[in-house]
Amino acid sequence: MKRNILIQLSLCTVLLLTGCEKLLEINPKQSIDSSTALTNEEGISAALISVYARLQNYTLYGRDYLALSEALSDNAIHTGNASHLTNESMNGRNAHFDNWQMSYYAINQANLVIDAVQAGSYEEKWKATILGQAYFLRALCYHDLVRVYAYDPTAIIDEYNYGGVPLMLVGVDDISKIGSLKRAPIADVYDQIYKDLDLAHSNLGMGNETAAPHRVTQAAVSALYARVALYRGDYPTVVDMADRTLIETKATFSTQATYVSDWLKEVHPESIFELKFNISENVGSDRSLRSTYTSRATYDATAFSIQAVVAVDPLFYDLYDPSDVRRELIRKGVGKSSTFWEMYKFISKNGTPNLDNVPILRLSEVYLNRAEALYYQGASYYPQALDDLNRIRTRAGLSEVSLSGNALLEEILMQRRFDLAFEGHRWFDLKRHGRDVMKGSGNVLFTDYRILARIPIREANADTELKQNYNY
Amino acid sequence: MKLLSQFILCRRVTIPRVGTRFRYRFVFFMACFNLSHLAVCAQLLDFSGKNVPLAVVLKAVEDKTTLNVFYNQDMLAKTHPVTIHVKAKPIEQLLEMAFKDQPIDYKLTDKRLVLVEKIPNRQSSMAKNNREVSSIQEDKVQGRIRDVKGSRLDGVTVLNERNQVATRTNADGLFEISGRVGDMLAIRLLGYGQQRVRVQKMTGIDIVMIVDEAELDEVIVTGYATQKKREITGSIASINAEDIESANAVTLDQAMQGRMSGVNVQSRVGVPGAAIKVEVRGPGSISAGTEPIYIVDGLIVDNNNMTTLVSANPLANINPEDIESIEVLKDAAAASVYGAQAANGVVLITTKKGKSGRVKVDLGYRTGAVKPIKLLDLMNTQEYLNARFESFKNYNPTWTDEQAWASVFSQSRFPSTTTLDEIAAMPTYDWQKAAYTDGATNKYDLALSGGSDRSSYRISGSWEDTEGSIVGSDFTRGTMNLNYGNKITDKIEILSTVNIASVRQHGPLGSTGTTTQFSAPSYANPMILPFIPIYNEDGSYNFTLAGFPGTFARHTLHSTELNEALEKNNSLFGNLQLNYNILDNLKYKALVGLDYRDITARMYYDPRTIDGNARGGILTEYYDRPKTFTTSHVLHYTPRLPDRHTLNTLVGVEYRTYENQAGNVTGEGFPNHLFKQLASAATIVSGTSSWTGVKRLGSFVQANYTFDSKYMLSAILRYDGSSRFGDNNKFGLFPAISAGWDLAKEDFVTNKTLINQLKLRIGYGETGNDQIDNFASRSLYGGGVTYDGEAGIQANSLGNSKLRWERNATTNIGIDYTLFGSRVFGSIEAYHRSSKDLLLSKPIVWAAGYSEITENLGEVKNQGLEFELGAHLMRSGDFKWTSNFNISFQRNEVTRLYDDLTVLPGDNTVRVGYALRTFVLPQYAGVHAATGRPVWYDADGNLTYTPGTMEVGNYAPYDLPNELPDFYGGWTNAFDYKGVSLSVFFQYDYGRIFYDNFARNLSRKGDSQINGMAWYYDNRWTAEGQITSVPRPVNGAAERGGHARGDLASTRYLQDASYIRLKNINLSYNLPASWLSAIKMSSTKLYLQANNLYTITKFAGYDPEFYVTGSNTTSNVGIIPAMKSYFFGVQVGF
Repeated sequence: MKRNILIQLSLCTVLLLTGCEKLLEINPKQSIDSSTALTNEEGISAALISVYARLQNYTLYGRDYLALSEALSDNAIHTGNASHLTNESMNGRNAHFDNWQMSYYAINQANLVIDAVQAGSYEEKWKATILGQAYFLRALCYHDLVRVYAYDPTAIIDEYNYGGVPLMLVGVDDISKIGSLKRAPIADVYDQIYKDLDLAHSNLGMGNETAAPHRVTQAAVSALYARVALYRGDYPTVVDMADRTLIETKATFSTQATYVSDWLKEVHPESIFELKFNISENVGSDRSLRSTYTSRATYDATAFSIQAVVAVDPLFYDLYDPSDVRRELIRKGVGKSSTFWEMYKFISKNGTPNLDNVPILRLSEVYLNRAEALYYQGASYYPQALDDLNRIRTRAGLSEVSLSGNALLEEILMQRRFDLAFEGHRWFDLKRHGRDVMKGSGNVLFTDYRILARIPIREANADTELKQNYNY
Repeated sequence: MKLLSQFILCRRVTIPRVGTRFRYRFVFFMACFNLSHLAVCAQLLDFSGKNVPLAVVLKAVEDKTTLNVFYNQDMLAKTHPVTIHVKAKPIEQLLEMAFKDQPIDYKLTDKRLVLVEKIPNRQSSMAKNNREVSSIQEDKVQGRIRDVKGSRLDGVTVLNERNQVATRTNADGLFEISGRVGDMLAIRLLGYGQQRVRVQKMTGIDIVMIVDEAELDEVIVTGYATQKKREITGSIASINAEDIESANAVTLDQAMQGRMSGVNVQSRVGVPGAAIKVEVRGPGSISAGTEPIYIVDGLIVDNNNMTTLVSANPLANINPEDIESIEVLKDAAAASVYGAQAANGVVLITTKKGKSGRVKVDLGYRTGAVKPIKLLDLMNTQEYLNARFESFKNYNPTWTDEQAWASVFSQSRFPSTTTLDEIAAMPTYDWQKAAYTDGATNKYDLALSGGSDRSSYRISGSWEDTEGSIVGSDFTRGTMNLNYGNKITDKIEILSTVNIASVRQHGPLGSTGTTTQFSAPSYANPMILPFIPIYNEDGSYNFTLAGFPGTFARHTLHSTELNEALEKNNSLFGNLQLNYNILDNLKYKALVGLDYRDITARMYYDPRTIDGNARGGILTEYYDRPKTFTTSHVLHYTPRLPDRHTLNTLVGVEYRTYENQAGNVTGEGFPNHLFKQLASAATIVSGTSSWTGVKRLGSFVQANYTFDSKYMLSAILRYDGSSRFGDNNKFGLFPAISAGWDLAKEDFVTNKTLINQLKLRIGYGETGNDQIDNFASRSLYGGGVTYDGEAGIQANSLGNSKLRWERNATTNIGIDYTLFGSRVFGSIEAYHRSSKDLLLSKPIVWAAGYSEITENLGEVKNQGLEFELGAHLMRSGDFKWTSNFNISFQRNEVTRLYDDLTVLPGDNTVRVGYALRTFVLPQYAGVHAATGRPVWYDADGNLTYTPGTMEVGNYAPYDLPNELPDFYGGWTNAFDYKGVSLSVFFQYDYGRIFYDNFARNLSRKGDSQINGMAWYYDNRWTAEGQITSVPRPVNGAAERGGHARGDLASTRYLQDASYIRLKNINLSYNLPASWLSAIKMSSTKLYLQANNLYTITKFAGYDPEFYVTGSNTTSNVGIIPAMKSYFFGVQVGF
């Protein structure tokens, strides 16, 4: 009897313990385990959305790619209204782009999406749409990384060239998947970007232009392709891709009459790919482009808002022809910024301060890219280059020009500076041409180590294969 | 000391082994002395046995009669076997034979057979029943017996030595015995020293009994069972109801402070009911938690602090008056029965239970006042303005006095025409003092308890209302506790505890501990400029929306009065326990319990204050609904072993789940201040909710073996799983083994009254720690991201499927001693605790898409020595003096990090070879006597005006002191004289270095527009050659030329926070029993108490006793210091 009871009790205990693993099963509710998160279409789509969301970070297109490109270069001066971006304006040591973390986060998110789509079986069209966007976003991030941390193929100082950036192409959902941080050669990085863009283009297919400009489309792929090829010095490809863009895109070229008002519209008509910001997606009032560039909260405001730290360099302002319509976007600030020229390309377009959609690829850039690429292919291409250049000039209210040789190049670059001012091009344009940055707060020669950004110390410390940039 | 008087109810006689559960010291209870036992006599029994244990006879009696048999295991253990052959004999005759020459006696009534201690020199048990015969010629002597605290003592044996008549006290401690004046009464009760009292009057004899430490078989709760303290081999600290009562603490963890060696208790903030930091034997973890787990009556309770508005103590829902005892399992040998969660120690809380007997009513009331401990000496108006003037002059050497004064006037918003005479006449307003107030406190307690022989109950309720010493803080608590036990059948008993509590706390901004909010009185008030009036002439607040001059522009009292920070914590926890005696020596115990809380909080920034004005009032409402479910199933088995060997085993499983649903909503834009609900908010600004949970499963085996109460051996094995860990590492095995040897029981110890107990203990064991994020081992996708209005998900964390327990291995050696006829008692312990596989966030490359991963890395060791020493220094006549002292020494050291790192990336205070919470700061060298500028040491030990930054590491960290105490403890002295008791309790902490960050703010002496401590003003450098540590005032705090600020975070602000504190004095008076019996009361106590009365310390800030920590820094900025409190109370029992 007693024995029986003991046996029964032991059996109960054993049964209870064999159910152990089950008893400890518990799952978070506001998060999903990565093993199941990306196993269905909804999950993968949502994961792709978060890659776009990552680009909104202030170290990427939320602010830095645009504002720092101006602050580090000769387009802007610092107002001293607040300490934000002071050191960047002075080109201080380490005061540079700091996009490493967020770019690689976005790349990993894109990698995870690509891996997940390929691992499952999904409807082909849906699968292609997702893959196309993910490849494009990965390519965009790699190009932004390589132009910040490495020399561009068109202007390299061999002595200080430590390569491109590490290529991470596998989604990390387990520590074992973390690869080496060895910097790939610059060419390899560009090859990879080309490869991604080719895949993006073929996957996206025709007819998805309705998604433009806030989602990736074939036209966006082609426009980015043209830009990347320009940085690479692969000029025929620039021309091909620019041509292809113009065929594919539904964006419309602003006219002289609409030039200013188009910038005040919520969606810029020239946008081929534009990063959208909804109310909940703001980067904060002290970091938004609006508050970085302007002292007004809205276009018509009369009171000083906050910040307004990056103003147009008066020397640059003076370069605009008085009849240039583009100069109308530059206005005197208010309050303590009343003596500064401010750029009004980002002025609360959604009607709410601190929210501004950021055009990443815009039609004017495509023409300017093509003009430059045509120029570099030799004198026989000058007429075509002049066509593109004069399209930009006349639209601004300037007369047509007929130039050749270096004068043509300089004019193309000048119009590029005028048209794309405060949109995040100037620093990179100087850098890829190997030009010195001449500015009031102190020149930065192309040979200076500060042309390249410092790779975050923690990364270089963690992986000895990752070679830090010169002098950092 | 513990006085656990438990009434033992044993339906079935068991073979006399020491049962695990049934080891309570036995006090019994016999009001029915003269009851007839005729009914029993009629029963005729057969019995036949040769050399059988007495228990077998008793079992036969119980089986064959209707009697219930009551006994104490210890008594039975002393008996010898008997040989009896009877046929159809009355029960008396059988018992007479069985108890012949036994060291114990029995008492028979019509329903019960009770085993009792032998009354000396009695001829036979028959004589006892013939008491009336011999007392015919005698008168009745009447009296009352109680303990030193005035509690009635029942079951005390009273023997008249002259006529050998004996009796026992009844439930009210009253006795009546035949005798006459001049007789000598021998008074005896197990656990108390024997007394002889000469009869001087026939009635109203009042006898006080004193606890005898050696004899007292104190019983300690050891987890799933109880054990005699004498036989425990692990390291356990305990306090009892009496200690808790005398602390008069708001929360139970406060009552532990200074009374348990190896348990370091620190306040976090000085508001009533605030959270407390408890650490057992030093910090054993770097980033996982270091708090012990709390178990109330077998149910783990949630000790997470939920909201951040008001400092709330998660244990505040237990009324300390309801607690019978608190035990802290300190070493692994004791704690590993709780396995995985026990690395930081286990706090076992046992609530008071009812006792059989007539209803007992206890009423308590106390009232008192709280006051701030200390205020700082601040600059007055003239000193501040002068310092400000000097700072302008020093920063701008070319300025004239007029220029400097003009700047001072303009920023102070004085007219530019102000004269120095006018300044000299300006008053000083004491903002600091205005932040503090004298609060009142009231507490009411009521408890009813009692029961029958089958059931017992205790119902208690309490209400407490305490105001804090800082404006706007209060604590209100209502509790109800119900304990109920019932024997449903002979084999099944159910027990249940239910505790309901409602706690409500208000606090000003910053009452969470530390703050830098400008409207927080504890933070801002000392720094508000002293020339600003607090009140207008009409008595209203001198408030303006535009704000005051200076950095601290807000009227904190106005804000505190209008804003509302409120936390409400309603809780229900309870358990249901089933005890089933399957066999005589096999018991099954099942428990289910639930701890449910409903915590809500609200923060309302009134639109009339600066805080809320710009946004038309802001309201955030928070909620947290944590729920903990526990169930455990334990089998106790006591195998039959030969004499003097006892073995208790238990095997069990336990399952716990925890979950919490939390959220908050913020709205703004209220029509006006009368609208304080979200319904009236113009805009809902944000809303969020979250859910988290954890599950744990454990099974355990424990065996305690003793031989002759001389040698003890204990082994524990627990196999524990937690959902927090990786798939293959969810379970861990936690073993422990310990042994004890009581030398005093050996024959070679000849003088047993000199050495009453000398127990050597040694133990080794392992425990775990899983206090990390609930889902730290998982790779997770989280939401909350959107693009273009579409919801996205992204990988938030990189999981580590290899994540496993933090593991603590503790070796403990201890000696428990009782010497010199129980006059001196205590223990000595030495331990070495090594914590391995520490859970640390290891940075991983961003290029992988994440910033960190939690891994098991690193090792920390804690070593310590603990001494407890108690003594009855005086025990003569009516005067008793008992002293208890404890001291704990500890050393902590990080012994290993990962990858040969000597400093933890991201936290340079964690470094190999140093203690945790080490300060690594630039080295302050003082003030350059020639220039008055602050200087530091650089990396080469040279003086510099510009020390390096933390990241670069180019300063000299000469001295790396730490925040952990070198030793700490407490000292209690208790004096009893007749009904008067006085206890004086000191608590101390030595060797704690503290970074006084608040002093950083208060040391600016005119460097900026804030007021500060007068000491810095008085000692500032003013003339060349002056040797001082305080730099000259300079506007902006930094000298020209890129020099570092004088208030740079550096060793300049490290302070010795050692202290000795007169924690409490309690003076109580128990009304004489003779008075009380006249009014049918059993006890009445009046007491006066003062807490935190006096402190000796070198610490210059508010209070050295508080604990704060952040991820990388320690800051006491805005801390609310502990308060002094004074109580008067009365406790009545009838």
